[in-house]
Amino acid sequence: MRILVPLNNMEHIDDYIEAGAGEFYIGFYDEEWWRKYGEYADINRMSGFRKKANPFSIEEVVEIIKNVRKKGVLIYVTFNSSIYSEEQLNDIRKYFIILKEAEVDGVIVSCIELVELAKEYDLPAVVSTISGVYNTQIAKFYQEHGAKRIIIPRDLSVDEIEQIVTQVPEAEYEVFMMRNGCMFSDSNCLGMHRNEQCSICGSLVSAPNEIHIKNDSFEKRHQVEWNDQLYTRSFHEYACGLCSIYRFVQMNIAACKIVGRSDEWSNVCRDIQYVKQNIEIASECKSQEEFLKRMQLPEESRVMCKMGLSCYYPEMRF
Amino acid sequence: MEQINCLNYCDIMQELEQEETIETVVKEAAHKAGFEHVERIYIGSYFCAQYFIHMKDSTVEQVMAYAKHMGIRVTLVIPILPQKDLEEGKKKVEGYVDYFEGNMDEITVNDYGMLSYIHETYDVRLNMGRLFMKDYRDPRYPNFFKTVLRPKIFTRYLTHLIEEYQIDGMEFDRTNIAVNLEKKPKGIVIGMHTPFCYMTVGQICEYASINKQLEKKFRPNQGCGKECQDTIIHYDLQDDREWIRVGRAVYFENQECDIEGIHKYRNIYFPVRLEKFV
Repeated sequence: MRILVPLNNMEHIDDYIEAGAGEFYIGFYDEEWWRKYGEYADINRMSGFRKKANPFSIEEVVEIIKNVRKKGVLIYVTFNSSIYSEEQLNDIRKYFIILKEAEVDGVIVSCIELVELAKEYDLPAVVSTISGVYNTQIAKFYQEHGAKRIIIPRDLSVDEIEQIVTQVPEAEYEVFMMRNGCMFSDSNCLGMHRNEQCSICGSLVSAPNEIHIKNDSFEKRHQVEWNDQLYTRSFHEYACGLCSIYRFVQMNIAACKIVGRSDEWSNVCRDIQYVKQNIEIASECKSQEEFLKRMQLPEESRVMCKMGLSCYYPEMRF
Repeated sequence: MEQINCLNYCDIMQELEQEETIETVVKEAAHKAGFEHVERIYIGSYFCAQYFIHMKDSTVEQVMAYAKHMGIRVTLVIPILPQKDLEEGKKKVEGYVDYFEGNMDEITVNDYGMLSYIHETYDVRLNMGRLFMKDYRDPRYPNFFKTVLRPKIFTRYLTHLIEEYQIDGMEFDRTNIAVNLEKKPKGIVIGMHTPFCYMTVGQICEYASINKQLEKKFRPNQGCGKECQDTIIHYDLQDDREWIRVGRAVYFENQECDIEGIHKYRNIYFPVRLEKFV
């Protein structure tokens, strides 16, 4: 299982690789795209954060691809806005031609139209979590239309992931591993991700709310309010899937992903190291129980784990 | 503009399980929606597999009996089913097969896997549900909200999908100040959800965790006691707009949306009775 890392900082590319990164993903900006389609039109899901999340132009990305490939590491380019118009799909062709020529390892795409388009240019298509591949039927649909790899949504259990991987073995799979959780589904969370305001989940957890209850009672009210406080204040402040690594190694998952395209590089490196160490431990273990005993927990795990509230896959431990 | 009046009881079928008769509840909802009569009722779920697989068959039976009596058509809506509920969800659909030759004359699906499955398995009309339509919606950005949405899904590839899967209809939310549907494929029946636009949804349900112990809270698609039927959260995003969490979805109210470019559409009204919650 390779470790997939966001690349938005060329200065530290060797640090990432030294820490254990085996794959990179990267987005790009294009001023021409914004001029043509307006400032709210995204090339990828992080376009709204402008150069903070996508600091490179397509020309610069081409150079980065060449550089990364020389170092023996895979690299993918993201096209994961939630949806594209016909005109935008046509404009993406020119990027695909450039990326094919640069010998990119694949494109991360959010919709079936782009899977088909990638196929046309003989580019390996990685189906983004934006596509919402929640079951074998959906996985089969994308695989049959040409997807090489499928990124499993972060809100599925490890057992469900195993069923998909086992029942649709023709595709390769990628799972979420470290940094950011989400209370909503990537596939149908349709608010903007931009600099001006936080994402909608951020707005909701910080907004004053009123909870309305049918047949209200003291006990019911307190259960609901306490639950809401945990949900808004403690759930997925951070996210981690280290305890699931043994299972993912057993399933031959192709890659595990560390998210956070705008996060501090040193924190990303630290997480890469935790994942790398635990993949090595998992490969020596004979069972999940043995792995859980031997695995390397993050230094701050006592504070971080929060009885499962920071877990991508809480059922592995709690 | 010709409108076909529809009521959407998906995710809130408990509204039909009150002490009042279904007829009374439907009449009240129609009145609130400004409908003289109701031509179609949507049942099932757009957002929650747990809701769908645990739908009470007795309620469905009552709705079907009422619909038959009143000459109302019924659409069965299937949400995205996570892997653990996929087979159970299919069985649930199979359980309604006898209705398909009667008033339950169509199915709305919300993902490509189910689109393919229903097309191959059943001979019913087929709609692409609101979860296929992934244009951003975000009234927190007034400049964006005030633009006219021209749905991006109207591509050549869509025409190919419509032919391949024999799709009859497509459903949209009122995302902006106006939605222009002039590029809709020929023959497709358009459904517009009103008065709430869904903005986000997740497999992790806040309400399902209410009665769970700490370490079992906020698991994706976990079993529940249908706590969503008793609880609604209102959010104050300081924009004079109603924001509510009903079940797994968060919606904003949008009553000011014009529908452009078409002459006829289904007006799909969500009759959630907020006043019933204290």
